[in-house]
Amino acid sequence: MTAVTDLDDAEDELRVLLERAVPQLPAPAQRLERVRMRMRRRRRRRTAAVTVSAVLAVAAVVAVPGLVRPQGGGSAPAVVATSGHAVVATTPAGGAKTNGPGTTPPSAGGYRPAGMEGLRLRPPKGWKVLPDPDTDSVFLSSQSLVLPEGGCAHALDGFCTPLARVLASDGVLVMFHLTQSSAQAQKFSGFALPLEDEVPYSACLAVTGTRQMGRTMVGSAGSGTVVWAVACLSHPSAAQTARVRDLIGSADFG
Amino acid sequence: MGEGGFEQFVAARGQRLLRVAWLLTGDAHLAEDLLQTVLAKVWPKWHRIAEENPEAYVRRALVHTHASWWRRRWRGEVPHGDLPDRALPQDAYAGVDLEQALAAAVRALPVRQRAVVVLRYFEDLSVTETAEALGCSEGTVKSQAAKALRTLRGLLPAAVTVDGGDCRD
Repeated sequence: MTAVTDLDDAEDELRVLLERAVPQLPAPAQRLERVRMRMRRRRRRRTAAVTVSAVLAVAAVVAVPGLVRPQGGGSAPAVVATSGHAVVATTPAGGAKTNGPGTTPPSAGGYRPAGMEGLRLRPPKGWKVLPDPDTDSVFLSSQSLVLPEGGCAHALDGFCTPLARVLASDGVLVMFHLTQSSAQAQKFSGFALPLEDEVPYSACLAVTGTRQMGRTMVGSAGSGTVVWAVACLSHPSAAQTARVRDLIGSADFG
Repeated sequence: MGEGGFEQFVAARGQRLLRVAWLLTGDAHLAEDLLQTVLAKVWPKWHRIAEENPEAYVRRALVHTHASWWRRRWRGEVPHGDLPDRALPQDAYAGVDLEQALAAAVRALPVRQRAVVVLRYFEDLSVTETAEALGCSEGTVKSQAAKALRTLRGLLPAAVTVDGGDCRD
């Protein structure tokens, strides 16, 4: 019997095996209704993201002196948005300015990035925040953030690193990534998963990260929302590590 | 074809597509999640997709969405190997063993090989169609299929039989 025939036989066997062994799963009664809900959620997220980006862009144009040059003078403005995604900075420590252009409003209630199903964050003062509605993610860093050309959809290890420069010593990048998965949500609901040290991904090592921490969080009951938080740190000090722990540990859907 | 067309499509092809999703994920819950995710993406564009080949489009979306899940976090999630307890007639256990063995074997395959197995051997696409769906060369499909076959032969236990015969030879 030739090798070709053997291969054909093996392929035919596999076809039969698959047809027989792949189970006939029951369809949930409300499948279409659930699909409709997911679709609405996607639309809401996109609309919210576009609205926030537009508001921030308008606010930046109106309020940043460098952006409005009525007499043609003034220096070139700093880049505040890329591809429609605004990079916002949190209020620096001790700073008097609040609600300025591109500034995350500091409030006791925390910061709720658009399109993240109500996820509430409390970014450390002076950190940069970059929401990316295209990938249902929000990035926070002690350094400048900018989305890579082509976006974050095909990031290595699923961990996008939209840093303007690689991490400096004591630099940190944190990603919160939202996924709709009722199976995962069901599995993890009812108990708080801890923030754990992880083996750094290649994506983290590539930006000179030396340490990685991660935590999985579940949204409100029945929402099917799961958020994965991952932090990449480069030679972190104890204080920086504590900030990351606070940021990820205090994230909630309250 | 409007929303009604979409509903008819899901009613008619949902079961088959769910089986495709199961073969990609090796888990019933993840399979339903994957299918619903893809249907939610497809629905808004249905009027355009329906004019072409909707099933091929959805199948392709299943494979690509699963690959993106894989690239993200959930590849670390390994569903428990045992099925939950459920009442089964005595002669149904053979089917469950086979299902478990296949799920474990499929999960052991790299994501690209898994996609090739699904499209080539479950959906019966030609090498050309599979290459087109995966956006790779026909040579890649052939080599990935050969590797997948070798792996599956090694992983599926000798007890797994096809129509009474040993599937390994």
